[in-house]
Amino acid sequence: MNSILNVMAQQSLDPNHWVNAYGDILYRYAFVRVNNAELAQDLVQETFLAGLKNLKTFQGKSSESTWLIAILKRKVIDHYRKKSTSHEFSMDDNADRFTSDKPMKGHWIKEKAPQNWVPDAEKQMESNEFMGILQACIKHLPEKWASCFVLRVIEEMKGEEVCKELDITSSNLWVILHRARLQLRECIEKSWI
Amino acid sequence: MITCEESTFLTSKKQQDKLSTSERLQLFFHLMMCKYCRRFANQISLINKAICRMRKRVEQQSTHICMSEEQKQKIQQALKNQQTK
Repeated sequence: MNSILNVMAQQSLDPNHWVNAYGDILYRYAFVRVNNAELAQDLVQETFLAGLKNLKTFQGKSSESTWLIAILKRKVIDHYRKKSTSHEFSMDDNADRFTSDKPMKGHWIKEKAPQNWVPDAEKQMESNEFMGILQACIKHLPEKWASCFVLRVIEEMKGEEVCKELDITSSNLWVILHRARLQLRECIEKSWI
Repeated sequence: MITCEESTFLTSKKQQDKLSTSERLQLFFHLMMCKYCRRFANQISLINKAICRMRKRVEQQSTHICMSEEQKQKIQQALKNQQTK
């Protein structure tokens, strides 16, 4: 009996077994977040390699797949951090949206002000067509903002965690999320109405 | 009186953080008087709901995503190389 358990224990910590057992689960996790097959595959490979290196630290407190996903999650966050430091020039200028001359300083500029959406907008937003528009508009966010937005709003990471990972202050985070939402709303309105 | 620019910022901030009492009051009075900012607040809320929905749908629809045999073999090879070092 003991020897069967030993064999099973040995086999389960067998990296050769890993790719077949966990490859697709990890790939799915990565692909859904980075949206790129090659990159997802690289992240999965790096995860397995890191797991192999750190086998000794695996204490069996969680399952193997949980442990491997935690490693992968770390790499996905690193990927977002790299993107957030991109020096991509942002075409977005808040000065286009709000007036800067007194006495109406800070008021919406008429052409940029939110339009009236259709009365059943909420229902229409459940359609696949709208989902496509939403995803496209999120992809259009400048890389600098996309990381913040994805981590905070989509992955629902806590604010303090996002700030720690991306090395920004919480006021930075608010401003970035705000600008992202302004652009997102505008993009959706343009593409949809 | 806060401006539209400030009101939209508070609306955004409200999504993830508690506003102070004075912020809440200022936002409330501005929204009472400004239809554009009311629309903005409403639309942001609809977009948030849609994002939740999108996340759930992506999870549900991702179950068919797999690596090809080729991709798997490439990774297995890389692992073997690492093991024999």
